[in-house]
Amino acid sequence: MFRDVAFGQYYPAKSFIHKMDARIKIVLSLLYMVGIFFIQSFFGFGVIFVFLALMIIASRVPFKSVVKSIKPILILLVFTTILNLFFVSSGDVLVEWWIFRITYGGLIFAGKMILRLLLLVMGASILTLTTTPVDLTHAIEKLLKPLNVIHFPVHELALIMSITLRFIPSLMDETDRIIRAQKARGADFESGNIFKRAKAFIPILIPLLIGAFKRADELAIAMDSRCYKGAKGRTKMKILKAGWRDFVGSLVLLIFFGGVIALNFLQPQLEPALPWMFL
Amino acid sequence: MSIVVKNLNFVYNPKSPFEKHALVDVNLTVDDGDFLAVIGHTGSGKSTFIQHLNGLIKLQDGVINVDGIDLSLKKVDFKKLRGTVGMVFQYPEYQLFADTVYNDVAFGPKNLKLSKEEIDERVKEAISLVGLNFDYVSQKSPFELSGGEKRRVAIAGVIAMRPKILILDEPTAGLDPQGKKEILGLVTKLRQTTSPTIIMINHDMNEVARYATKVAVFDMGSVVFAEPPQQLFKKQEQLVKMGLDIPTLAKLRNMLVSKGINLPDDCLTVERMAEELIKLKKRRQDECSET
Repeated sequence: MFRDVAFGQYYPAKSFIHKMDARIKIVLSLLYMVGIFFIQSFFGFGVIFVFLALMIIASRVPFKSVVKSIKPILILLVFTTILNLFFVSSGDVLVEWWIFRITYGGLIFAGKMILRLLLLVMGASILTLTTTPVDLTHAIEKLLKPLNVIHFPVHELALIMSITLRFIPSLMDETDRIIRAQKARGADFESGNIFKRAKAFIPILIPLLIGAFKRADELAIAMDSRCYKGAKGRTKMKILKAGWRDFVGSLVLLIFFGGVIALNFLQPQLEPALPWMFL
Repeated sequence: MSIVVKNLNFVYNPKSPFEKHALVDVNLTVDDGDFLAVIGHTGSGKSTFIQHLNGLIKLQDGVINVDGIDLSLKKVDFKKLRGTVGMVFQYPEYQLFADTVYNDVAFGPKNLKLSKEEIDERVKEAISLVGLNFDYVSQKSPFELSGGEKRRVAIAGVIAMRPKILILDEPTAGLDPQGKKEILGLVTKLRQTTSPTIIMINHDMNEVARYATKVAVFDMGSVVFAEPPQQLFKKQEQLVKMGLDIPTLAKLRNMLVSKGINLPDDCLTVERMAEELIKLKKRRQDECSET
């Protein structure tokens, strides 16, 4: 039932992007996301789509997997589109019915918002598709390390993340098992109104929670018995290393990012000559 | 006839790289009153098979008829099916959830939409059947109980639905010898009272030899043997080849038989074996004194 949920959606392959340093990938992904918010024109979105396509090819991840990452935000997408359609009013009125009014400006705005969200999610999915969850947490720990100065528990945070990632599949299996056990006792999760259905989940949630606490306890004991004492004196088996790929990758993204910013600054000069670029 | 399974096939994740043929042409009948032991390696299809029997896994291909309920129909009466076939999963104590033992045991009967009096009666009966003191435990939280008691409560939750057929998936897993004996004693008792037909997955061949009237051996998704333990455990070589063990006493019997000492094939428990050996010894003594 829950097996299809894409989590830790790492796609194993050997590619340029897979081999990059996870820290660099995180930083570049953040830059990419910031860059997207500088873009205002359909032309710009088009260019980014091409850039994204090139990245996907370089990552050797099937397009299908990247497109799949949109699924969880579909509801959000529909919701924002509806909000933007009805609440942004500028320009010509296209449709008017009762208290609803769709304007040209609203339509354009909603369209741009959809493109922006799609690019954001698909871009971010390249990071998670090409980086193992372990590397990811490791990189986050490294990146947040400076926060140690203000006594922010960086190592603990990273540990919490990796334990969470480790236990999600186990908890899913367990959920599956409990659901089957309660179904065998005649539990019904499919019929009735929303309150009835919500109540029907209690026989699943309580055993699941109890199991999770028990596992946590056992894990703590197991870690204790192997002398875990927190971050102090701990070394890593896999040390992250930035190489030439990271240099090249960063260069490509920086050039791209620079181009986006330059276009933004040059808009007043360029717009009279090339108006289609700034639609 | 209680359960009839014909040409049952099942594929996990069909048409994907993770496709796995879990059941291949399974044919099996279980008669009323049978105690069927299901044995086989992990991944041999045992669990997939038993979950078919109360509709937890949707039938893909084949015919299953459980006590007159045809599972190959489009609309199956799942409520009736689950009232007929009780399923005790591995480590059933992990499914306990209610605030009191009473409410947990009443969960199944409530789902069957029975009357309050009927539920009350069944809960009382189920709790005392599993050997717990109703007045003592009924208002306790199930989480206060010991491991063995929790398992009993979980089993009570299933038998409160009064299933004619009771399926147990390794009910003795993780218990000490005493706990194992108690649970198997309970299963025997249930067979005499509420659930005349029992299907049990078990890895302990000595337990299988002692309790089962019929054994189904699963190997790579198919039923290789389905016969009484007396006949099955004569096939020592074939079973060992499949990576399965055979009961200690069956081993002894087969060894003695190969040495020319004739023993009946039902010498699968210590008691029966001792009886036969004493008989044999007496016969020989008689022969000696005659000559």
